[in-house]
Formats: sequence, C-alpha cells, structure tokens
Amino acid sequence: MRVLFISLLRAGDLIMQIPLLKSQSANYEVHVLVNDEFIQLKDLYPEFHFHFFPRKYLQTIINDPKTSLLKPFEVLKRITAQLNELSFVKIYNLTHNRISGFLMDQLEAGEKHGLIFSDDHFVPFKNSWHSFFNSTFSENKRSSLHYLAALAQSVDLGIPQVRTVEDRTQKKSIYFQVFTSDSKKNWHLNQWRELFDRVTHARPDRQVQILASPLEAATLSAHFPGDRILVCSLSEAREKLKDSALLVTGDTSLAHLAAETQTPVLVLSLGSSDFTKTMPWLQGAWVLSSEVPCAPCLHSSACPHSQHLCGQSFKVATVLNVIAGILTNKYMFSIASPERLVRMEYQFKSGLKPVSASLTRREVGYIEQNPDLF
Amino acid sequence: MIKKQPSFIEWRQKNDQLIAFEDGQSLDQPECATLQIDSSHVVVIGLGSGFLLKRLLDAHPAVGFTVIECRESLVSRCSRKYENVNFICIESIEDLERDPQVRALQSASAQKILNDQALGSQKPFLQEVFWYLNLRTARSLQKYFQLEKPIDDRWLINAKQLLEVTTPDQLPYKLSEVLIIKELVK
Repeated sequence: MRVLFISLLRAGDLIMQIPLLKSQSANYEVHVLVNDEFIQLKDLYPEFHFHFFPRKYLQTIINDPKTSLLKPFEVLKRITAQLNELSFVKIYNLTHNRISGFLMDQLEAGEKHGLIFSDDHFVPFKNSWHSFFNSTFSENKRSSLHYLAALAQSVDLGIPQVRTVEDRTQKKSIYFQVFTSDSKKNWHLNQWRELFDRVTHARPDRQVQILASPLEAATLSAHFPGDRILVCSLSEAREKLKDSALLVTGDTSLAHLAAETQTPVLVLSLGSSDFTKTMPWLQGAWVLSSEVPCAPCLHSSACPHSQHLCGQSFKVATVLNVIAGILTNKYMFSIASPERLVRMEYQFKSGLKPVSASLTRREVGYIEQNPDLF
Repeated sequence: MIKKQPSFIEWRQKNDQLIAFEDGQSLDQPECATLQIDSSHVVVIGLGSGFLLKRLLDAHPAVGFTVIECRESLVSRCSRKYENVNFICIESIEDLERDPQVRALQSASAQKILNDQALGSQKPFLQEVFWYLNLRTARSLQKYFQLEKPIDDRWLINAKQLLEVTTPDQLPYKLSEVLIIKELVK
C-alpha cells in the first residue's frame, strides 16, 4: 500500500518533515512529491520514492512563445495522471499553500489530510489543529508550538519522536554553514570570518571548516582560506555532521540535517527566521536570535532597513561564548537584549519548545578561570 | 494580416544533395541541429530542402509528422518522397483557419517546431503561423475559445492574458488545474 506526502516548500522543510514520513514507512510504501529544483533529495533519502513537481519548468514554458499556451495545462495533467496510476491509499499535504491544495483536488486517494481544494472551494479544516496551523503559520506571528508538532497534528499524525543531541565533546570538527536561502537570514560574511579566526586561534585542537554548495564556493573563497572550504552535496554534508563536534549555521537545511544526525547545533536565527517555529527538531539544539522590533520579518518582503538590524545586533563575542559552552557542555550564559539565546527542550504534549537560556547565572570570573573557554 | 511573399524557388545540386534556393539564397543545409521530440505528433513549420524533416523521420520513426509550408514547389518535391507525412500548403492565416485539421494541430499534444533555417523570405509569415498554432496570437486565441472580448494584440499572448480573457469554464480543464497555472503566473 502506498502513501503520498506533498511537500512543495524548500529542501529544508522536507528535511524537517522527514520524521513524519518515517512514521508511515513501517506500514506503507512512502512516496513524496517535491519541487523539481530539489532533485538532490532523492539521493539523501533513497528509502522514499520521489516524484518531482515541475514548478520551474512550468514557469518557463508559461512565458515561452515557442511553446503552446496550453502546454502547461497538459504537463500538469500528465503529472497528476502518473501519480494517480500509483493508487495511493492516503495523501498528506504537508505544504499548506494554494498550489498544494489545488493539487489535492486532482489526486485520488481513500484518505486525504491537510489543505484540500475540492470542486470549487477549500474544504473546511477537519480539526482545531488545522485551524491553529493555518492562523499561526500563514501569518507573521510567534508560535506557541513548533511547526512540526502543529503540522503533524493538523494532518492527523502524532507528534514525532524527539531525539536528543549526542555528546560530541571529544570530536574535532566544527562546521560552519554561512549562507542561507535568503539574504535576509544571513549573518554578515565579515562577522563569520572574525568568528572563524577567533575559534581557530582559541582552539587549535579543533578544525573549523566551512561547508559549501558548489554555487557558494566562489564567494566564500574571497573570505576564507581555500583549504577550509568543504564543497559537498547534502548527502556528503550529512556524513560529515555525523562525526562533528558542532555545526554553527543560519536557518538552513543543514540545521535540520544536524537534528537528523543528533549533532550539536547552534542556529543563528535572523531576518524572517522564527525561533518559535522552524528550529531543528532536536532536544538540546541552541538558537541565537535577535529581539529587534522588526524581527521576525516577512518571508516575502525585503528588509525595510538600510542595514540588517538583526544581523548587526549579533556580536561575534556572544556567538563565541555560546560555542564555548556547547563544546564543553557548560551552559552558563549572560546574554544581553536584543540578543536572545534559547535551547530546544522536550515538553510533554508539545514535543519541543524553545526555552530561554539568555540569563543563566555564572560565577564572576568564570570565563577567565576556565581553560576550556575562550 | 501577414501573408506569403512572392519569391522564386530553384533547386541546385551540391555534393549529391539537392538544396532549395529562394531568390538566390540557399534555404537550409544538410547539417542541422538535433531537436528533442516529446510528443507523438510533430508539426514542422517551414520545409526548406527537407533536411530537418528527413533527420526527424530517421530519428523518430514512430512519430507522426505534419509539415506546414507556403512554397508549393518545396512541398511538391518532398510530398512525393515522404508519403507518410501530412503536408499542408497555405498562403495566409485564413487558409490555415479553413483547414479542418487546424484545431488538432493547435492542441498542446502536437509539438510545434519552427524550422528557422528554412524560413527565408517567408520568415514573417511562417513565424506568424507558428505563433498561431501555439495560440500565442490574439486572433488564434479568439478563434480557438470563441471569445467575444477584444484582446490586446500588440504582443504575443501569455498565460496571464489567457486567464484574464477566459473564464475557467471556457477552458477544457478542471478548475483546480486552472488555479494552479494562475498561481504559477503570479
């Protein structure tokens, strides 16, 4: 018996949703429909059957005068016909956007979960979780529940199992993922470079490397030593993370791969990234965010300020301080607003919640006396 | 309305190949690019000496081919050679509209190929035919969907215009299919 998951957002969203897919793989052959620009996900999860929604191709032919005006419709028909031939018993729409809702109308299955368009209207939400999910995650407001917990319950799946971060204090490799999918969410490259220099200087026993996609490598080589830039695929990055002490990253796919591999992770949550919604599904993951008045900003609009206030409010010294704590399992922080440190902690019924860790008490002079700290 | 331009066609022998010349200019050469075919029926607009057609027939024997050309002498030579190919010779868009096959040729399942090399002096007309068959002209869209509303015909039609000038029930698709394309157009 086959079940289909529709996940038409970004690669990181699917990686975060993987626990939901795995929850069905014991009883069903799991298929997943993702956008065609994320074909590399097929290699990352060979246990699932991938199908690709040709979003980019459709957008290209829609405006190409060399193509029939009706071709996009025919391509769409062909895709849905091919999927319907697989006779799914259940379909889960994990996307909650209009396109995925409309696709649900064309796909056939005994059970359909999530946002569904039928005939000429959207079907009313089946449960209160769905209403909560719709109102919280369609709008730019903080959430009392992690995205994955709300999504799981809105599509009648249980909250996924929470795993905890492994003790990797003996491991040598520290990885940075500098770029995110959106420039608003990026910390400035000069600050990353300063962080790189200070960690490298303070901990010569550890090796700091910058993980990069082939497209990012050229930009990074102007800022970091070439031998510290590690160009790799998502699959290769996952293998590296399994043997690493720490990943420091923006709000990226790799943060969710860190959760999958139970790797200690520090997420620098900036711009439209929201630490209450989409942080790694991992007990013990750390998140540094900024409480500037405009945070979090809208995904769809550009930063309204001439300079990114959130990124500027992040001090390299603060990030260093948190890295030191994670590497030594000594969590005593005093972090001043607008910077805000949270740790993902297990909570009964809601799975994971970000718990503030900004004002952890410490002894005076603790940093100076402890040789493990910078 | 753009029509066929008067021109003179002659055939010249070169390295065992007969090449068509229009007003003294060769139309096409035996060497031509390989094209990707993703349909069971292909409409080639512009025949020239027939080099592209031969290449396509050799590479895709199971595919059905229609050739649209406006120069009778090109058609008469090749139609004898390739009996399994459907040749249509027209001199105006009105001729095309009168052809009983036009609606089938306009369907998205028929792949249209504009044979750039073979257009010669007829480029404006054959290009218009190509856009007409792809429903990218206001006239073809109005005829195909029997629309009464006037359509801005200054540019080639795009999907956004199609969705503006038609109602979902005028299109031969489910509402949700139309709405997906509408989202992608945004």
